[in-house]
Amino acid sequence: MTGAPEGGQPGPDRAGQVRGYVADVRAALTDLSPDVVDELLDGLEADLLEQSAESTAPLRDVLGPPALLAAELRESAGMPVPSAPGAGGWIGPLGVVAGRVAREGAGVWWVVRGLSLGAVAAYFVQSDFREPLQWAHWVEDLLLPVLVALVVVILSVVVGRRGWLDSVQPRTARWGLRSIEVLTVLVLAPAAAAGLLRGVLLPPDLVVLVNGAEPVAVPAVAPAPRPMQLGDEGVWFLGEPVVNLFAYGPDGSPLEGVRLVDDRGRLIQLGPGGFIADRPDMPGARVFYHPGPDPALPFGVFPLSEILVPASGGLAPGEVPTPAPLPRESVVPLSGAGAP
Amino acid sequence: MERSQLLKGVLDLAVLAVLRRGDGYGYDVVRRLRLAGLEGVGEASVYGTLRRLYSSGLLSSYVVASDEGPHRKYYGLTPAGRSAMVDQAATWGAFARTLDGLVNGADTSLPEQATARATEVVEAGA
Repeated sequence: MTGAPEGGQPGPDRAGQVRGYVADVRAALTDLSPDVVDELLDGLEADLLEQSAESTAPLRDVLGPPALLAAELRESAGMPVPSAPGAGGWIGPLGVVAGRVAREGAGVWWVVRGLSLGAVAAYFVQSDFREPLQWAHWVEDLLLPVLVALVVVILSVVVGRRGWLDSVQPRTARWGLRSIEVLTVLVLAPAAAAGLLRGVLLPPDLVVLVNGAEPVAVPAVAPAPRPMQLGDEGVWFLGEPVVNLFAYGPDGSPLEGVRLVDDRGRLIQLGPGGFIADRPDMPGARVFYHPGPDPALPFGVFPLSEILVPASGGLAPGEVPTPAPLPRESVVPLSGAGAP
Repeated sequence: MERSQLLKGVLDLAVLAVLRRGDGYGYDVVRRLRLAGLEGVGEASVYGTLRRLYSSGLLSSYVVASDEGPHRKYYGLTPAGRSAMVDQAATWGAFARTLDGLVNGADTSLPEQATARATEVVEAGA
């Protein structure tokens, strides 16, 4: 190993000037990827400091214009020469700005490319991409795909910053990879994103309950129940919405197929057609209330039958409503009921 | 004849030859090339050449930190670099001998002269 510095130790002013000079050289290389520029300039400051220490002339007289040094450096290093000058002359600042825009545009492209590839990867990572999105499976359907997409975005940026694709040989292979990139961003990614966000962007899937000859459509993702308000359809009792009604005959035994009419002769309904509500005796459970398996029954025949809504929010096709459990097996018979 | 143009074609070999004698950083290589007689070598050309040879796998590099200033980046020959230097030296040697013979030897490129000489040889043999 050789090379003790000659020309004595440069002063702090000179060191600062050289640092500024290297920054100007860097500015003239903005069209190259940051990693390539870092590699080109690594160790340059020490070389220029030693080189300039051999003269007391102004730094730029010793080293020449930074843009010229940058051009010689990039040419001898085998780097592409920009079509527009990076610095120097009236177009210099424009060239620097153009280079910077191109570089930052490249950064945006790396992220877009990563998001696109990530969306495609995430689509296949989901637990079962043929089924409707189920929020109950948020780890498999949401967290895992997001993590996978994030990793792919990071990989894409790393590949872009290191210029790995630019160094692929032969040129036909490089163009092949570029074509796959563009195809992914323009075609595959939107399709994958639509698949990932099914149930969010697309109309909610409908599950058809086969109710005899009359199908009933129910949102796969059930709306969250809310307390009934004035103006809502239904019946209120002691400030709470009534979700089912049970009628008992004079002998105290439950009746089925009961219809109730108000003082104006209107058939009482508790909700708009079939509806979903919390069942009072089962905290956290949601129930789809339904008049019953008979398609001839209007919504207003009590007691309503019910289907327990699973936590995933969807109802399996073809589920048949079952009679709601009686809140009371019987009530006290009216006096004289059943008497001969 | 422009020496810088000549130097451009053999700078890789010159840099490899310098580093064969010991590792060095950018300006150190410049100084050693100049001491060897290549006064016109440009600093930036050498710095860029070092980085290109490093990217090609012909050089290795390492950083030596300094308490008093920026770190130095040293370069050394890899086995591939030594092999490349031997190959390029052989190519250069053959090229130099050819050119030397062309410049200093007999000129046989003119068809008329070659024909005349061949005629003399035939007549002498007969």
